[in-house]
Amino acid sequence: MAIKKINTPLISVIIPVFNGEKYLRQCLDSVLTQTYNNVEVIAVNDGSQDSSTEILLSYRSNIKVINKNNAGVASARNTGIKAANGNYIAFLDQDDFYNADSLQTLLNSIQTHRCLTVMGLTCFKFEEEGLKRNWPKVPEDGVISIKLLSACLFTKTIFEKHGFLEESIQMTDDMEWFHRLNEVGIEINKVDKITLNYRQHGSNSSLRIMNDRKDILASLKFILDERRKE
Amino acid sequence: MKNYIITSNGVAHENFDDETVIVNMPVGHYYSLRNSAHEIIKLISSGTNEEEVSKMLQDKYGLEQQTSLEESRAFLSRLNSINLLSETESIIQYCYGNAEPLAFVSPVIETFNDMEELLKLDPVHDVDSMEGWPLKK
Repeated sequence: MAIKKINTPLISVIIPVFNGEKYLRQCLDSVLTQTYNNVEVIAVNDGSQDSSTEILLSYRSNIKVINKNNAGVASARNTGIKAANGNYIAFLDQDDFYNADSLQTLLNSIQTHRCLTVMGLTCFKFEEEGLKRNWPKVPEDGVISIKLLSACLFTKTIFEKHGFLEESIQMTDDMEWFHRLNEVGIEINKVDKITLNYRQHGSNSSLRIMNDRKDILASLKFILDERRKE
Repeated sequence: MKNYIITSNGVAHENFDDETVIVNMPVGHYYSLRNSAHEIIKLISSGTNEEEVSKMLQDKYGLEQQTSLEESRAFLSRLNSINLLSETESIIQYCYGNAEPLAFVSPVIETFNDMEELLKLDPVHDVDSMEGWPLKK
């Protein structure tokens, strides 16, 4: 009798956590209720001072928790990658969440195309109506293709071959990572299905605005400097 | 004579030690300015005009007055042509230094478009200038 080989590789989902108590449960639940169930959840608690630590403890029978001193999101993601046992790596931010079939969709695509990374569509979830006007390029239904780490599934080998996320860049480490992949000619296969719900919330404080601006420019400076070293 | 400053309309910049990086969100381009271009853009950051830039070029690079004015005009015109400048009323007067003149190379602005997809989506350029950028996670 022929035995059909079922290919169910382990996917490691890395969730960097820093003071994320408000939405963390929804984020974790969305991973733990995936239709694809060979999933390892690695929450990297980057020195949270709110109740995130207690929330993570309450999930400890289902997830792996790594506690570390605060060193930024890229450092937390890299810690997660190094601890991952999966053949595939996914990232999810503490305030975002998957659809039930997100990982299955991404896995199907990456296996079908035999590629190093795939990316699904992102659905913006605006907590306040007023935030919509700040994203004029996002259509009314909120669905758009945008290069976000959390919209992607990567093979673990891509990090072994092309390095980890750049920890000297705060918040825009994804920008530099996608640029690095582009520089070495790695194409991202796109999936025409929503795999990430990307929450927009909070206030537009001028301090935060200034920091965002500095982050983007610091990333671009880093990219320019790296390019000149080549 | 027109006075200029770096526009805030969809444009952000940062003066690093050896280079100024500018990003123009509406078009998705970013720019690198080094050497004399870096020195000029530092003046523009605080508000300047072609005469003040010319003074700086004479002082730092030992250029003749006419040459420095031509270089100054040409570069401001180049920056204006790619919508990086706004007119302003106030300027900072250039302060002369005592350093030995440096070797002069005409100012260059390097343009990059490889991050266009990401930068164009950034909401900064369509936000009310009084309210600034939205929260970005």
